[in-house]
Amino acid sequence: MSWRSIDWSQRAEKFRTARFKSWLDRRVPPAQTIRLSHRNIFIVPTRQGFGFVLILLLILIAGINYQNALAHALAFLMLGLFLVAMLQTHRNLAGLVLSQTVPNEGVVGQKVSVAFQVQSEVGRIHDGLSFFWPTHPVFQSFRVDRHGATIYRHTIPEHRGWYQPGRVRLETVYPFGLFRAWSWLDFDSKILSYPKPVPCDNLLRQEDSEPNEGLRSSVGTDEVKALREFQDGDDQRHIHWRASAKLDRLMVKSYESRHSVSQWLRLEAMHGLPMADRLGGLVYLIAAASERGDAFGLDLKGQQLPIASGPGQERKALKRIALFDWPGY
Amino acid sequence: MTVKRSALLWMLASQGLMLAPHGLRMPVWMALGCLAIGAFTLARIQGHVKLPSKWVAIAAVFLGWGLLWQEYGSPMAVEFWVDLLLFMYTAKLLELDSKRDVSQIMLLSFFVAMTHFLFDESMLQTIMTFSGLVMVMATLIALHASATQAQGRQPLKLAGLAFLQAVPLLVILFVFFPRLSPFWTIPLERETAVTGLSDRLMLGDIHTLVQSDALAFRVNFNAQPPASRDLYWRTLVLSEISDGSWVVGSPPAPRPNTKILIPNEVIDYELLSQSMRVPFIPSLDRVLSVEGDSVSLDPLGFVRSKRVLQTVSQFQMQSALNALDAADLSKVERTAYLALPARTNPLAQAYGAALAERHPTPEARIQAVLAWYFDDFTYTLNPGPSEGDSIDHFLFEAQRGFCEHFAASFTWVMRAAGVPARVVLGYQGGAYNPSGNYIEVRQFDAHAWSEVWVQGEGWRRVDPTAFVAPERIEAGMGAAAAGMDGLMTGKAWEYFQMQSLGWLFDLQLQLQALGHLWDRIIVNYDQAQQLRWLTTVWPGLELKDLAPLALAAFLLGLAVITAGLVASPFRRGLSREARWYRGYLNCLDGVVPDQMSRGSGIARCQEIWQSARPTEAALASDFVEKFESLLYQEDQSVTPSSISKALLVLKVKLAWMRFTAWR
Repeated sequence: MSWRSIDWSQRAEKFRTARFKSWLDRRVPPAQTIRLSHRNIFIVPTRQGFGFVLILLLILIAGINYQNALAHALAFLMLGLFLVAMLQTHRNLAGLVLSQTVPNEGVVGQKVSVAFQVQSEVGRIHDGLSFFWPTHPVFQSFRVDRHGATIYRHTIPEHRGWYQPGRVRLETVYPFGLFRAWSWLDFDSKILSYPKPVPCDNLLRQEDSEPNEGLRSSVGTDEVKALREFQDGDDQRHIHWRASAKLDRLMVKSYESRHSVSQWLRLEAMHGLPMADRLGGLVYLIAAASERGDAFGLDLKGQQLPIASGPGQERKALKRIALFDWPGY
Repeated sequence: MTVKRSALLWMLASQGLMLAPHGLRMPVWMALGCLAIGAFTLARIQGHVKLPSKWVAIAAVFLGWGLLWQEYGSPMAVEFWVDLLLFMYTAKLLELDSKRDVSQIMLLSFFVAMTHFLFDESMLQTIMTFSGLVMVMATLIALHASATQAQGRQPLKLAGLAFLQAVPLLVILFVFFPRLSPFWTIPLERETAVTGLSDRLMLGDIHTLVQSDALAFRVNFNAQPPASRDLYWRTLVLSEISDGSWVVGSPPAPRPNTKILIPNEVIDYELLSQSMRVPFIPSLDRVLSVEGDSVSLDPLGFVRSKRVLQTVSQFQMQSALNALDAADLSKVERTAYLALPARTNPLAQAYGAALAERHPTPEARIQAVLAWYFDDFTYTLNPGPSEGDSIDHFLFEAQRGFCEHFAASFTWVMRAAGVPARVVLGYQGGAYNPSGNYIEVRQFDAHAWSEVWVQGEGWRRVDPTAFVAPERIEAGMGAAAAGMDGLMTGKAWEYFQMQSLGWLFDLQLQLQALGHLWDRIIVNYDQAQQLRWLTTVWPGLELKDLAPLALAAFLLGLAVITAGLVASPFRRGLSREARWYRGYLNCLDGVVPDQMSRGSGIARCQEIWQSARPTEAALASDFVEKFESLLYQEDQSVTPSSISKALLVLKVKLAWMRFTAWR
């Protein structure tokens, strides 16, 4: 295909001008569900399409010069086919209803799988469709029958925070390759993307992870120390079902492993790392602490998350880091 | 290769179909080469062989070019260019790799399709070419479809459907598109000679011509066609002798004020001529008028065309049969039509002189020679070689000959006897086709006869062959040949054999009638024809009205197809209520946030709209109220048409709003 040869990332740059974007936003507004119709479908002949017209004109000229009625007929047939090709290619996109499911979170620089649900509103077969972000072109075509289809594509978050995958391109040259119809779709979706973890074990050891209120204690592993009331973020596996039934409240077993430490993870403490990697280092430490079941608190230049443990704490901490807004980070 | 196997197989099949019509015409080595490349590609698709290095392909291409140049040796031959195109069309397979290559080959197929029509414009060829193009479109579908969709005969079905959708536009444009005159003329030559009369009569020429069954022309008469013996299709007049053969020469123009006396019978007819070797069109007796593309009536009363006919052309003619001409021959004319080269055929010259002495009137001289022919001469298709002075040899030694011998010798003797005379070349008779109600003349009907000047009567047709072999004139060439079994050879003989095959011959007649209809209506559809057809529907239509009419008809056709293709799938199977609701949702696009339009109910949506655009919201709520009262409260006072109207008003208002915003 001719469009394989085009460097999509360059082309995308060209179209990322503010004027084009604002025009596109008016033309194809962001929405969770998009129905394709003549309003949001663009269509232009392909290189083959222009070649077809050139041959048509040559045949018409030859027909006129040789006064050949059937060459005239052939040229007219080609014009008819050209227009039918345009309508059929348009029709191949028209009537599609699309929506997108993105995961809630991702990591900068790592693939995130996105699912697109495609239904045919008119119950027709739509063939030879392809779906891609200009920055990650995938030219594998798919087909939508009356049961619809779910297509997976991946995107790679480029920055920390709320990452918007941007407009995805749905295009087709089916059936004849003479026309290309496409649409730029914005599903108004965003992915919370975390910085990539930067391993920094050594760093942690050197640093004085200051003991907080003498909580450093050593108790035998797997030994239930006490029961306490369930809090958000507690591991459900630790619920003490018998006690909960008796007390009519959810009670969790409180374990304390021998090496269980609670600590403050501070951004300032990461001075051994380059600026860009400090948040990544924190992500790494949070993941490590969480895996061990340690309790930890997060301190981002004074924005503090109190010490706690469990998956809820990990999620909260990661979200803080993803959305941390400070000049220079 | 990155291309689907099914697409490649479709491609090979369609390429085969596009090359087939040229198969017998192209040089044998090239046909074999194309087959070899095709077979190689098939093996490659099946995975048996690999693509050769590009040097092999380049060598093959240069070899092909060289051989083609060797074959034709002239860039002016149409065949050279066509075969070059066909060769490249096939050789492209040697570098076939990507989808784009397949696309390119398929686009080239359309050009190849055009070359079919340069050689053959018959209905059968058209059907074959168009079927081949359906296959080409199927290839393109298989190329771009997913594997599921490209299975089996599915692409062919879809391509056929697209063809049917394109045909209405083809018909509209074919009827209405203004036919332009050629922009420039390229004097390309045909390598394969067209069979037909030539502009000189060498003894033996017509004899080879009558072995061909090629179609010469067909004629439709407005009334009952004349009897076969009266159908003398005059094509060329040969009035000079040069190097022992009769040639057209440059006869003096007759006086312009020659008057026709007693036009016995005036007939109108339409002649559809195939391509000819000479720029002369056959016509009957005395032509009164002729209409057609660049033809004129020359002073001798023959129909001339400006250039040699390359394609099928149609002419409307009017002729007077058995007309008498009271004018005198001028002195210059008399000299020209009596001129004979000195010192050739002395015996014939002496015989003529003796004839003039013995019989005082030209009439008696004519009858005397014809009587001699009747008594002593034999009509044969196999006259044997002529020697020395060919007229003398024929008259006094062989006495066996063909129409050309009789006409040439008769005219010679007449001139020697002092009677102005000339040879006429043309066709005689023709077969009546009852299915199509026309007369069909083939090359084996070629004939030569004489015209002699008789005072008070004008040029009188004298056909010496009619005296020697009356069956040739009465019943046509087939009957004459049947009496001389085996003497006629070639295609013409096969054609006559067919006649004895009863129903098969009838079928052939029907097919020929269909072909004739095709030629008249389709192949010959030129400017004159177009105007004639369209003025029967719109009297008073002029040439300049044609372009806007064509455009209007085309747009109308396009609108119908668009409506059929784009609009209907949305509407098909939807109830009236669903259509209204869909229309309303369409209006919401871009006005109300998307998630509101679905699932949140019409009322909530209305609120948002109210705050965003109060003016349009009033129109919208008018629609919504009517819609709901019909649907949920079954209010009989609300008519469906008022709902449609409310929706239409809303749509128009929004369209206007968008238009002003856009400006």
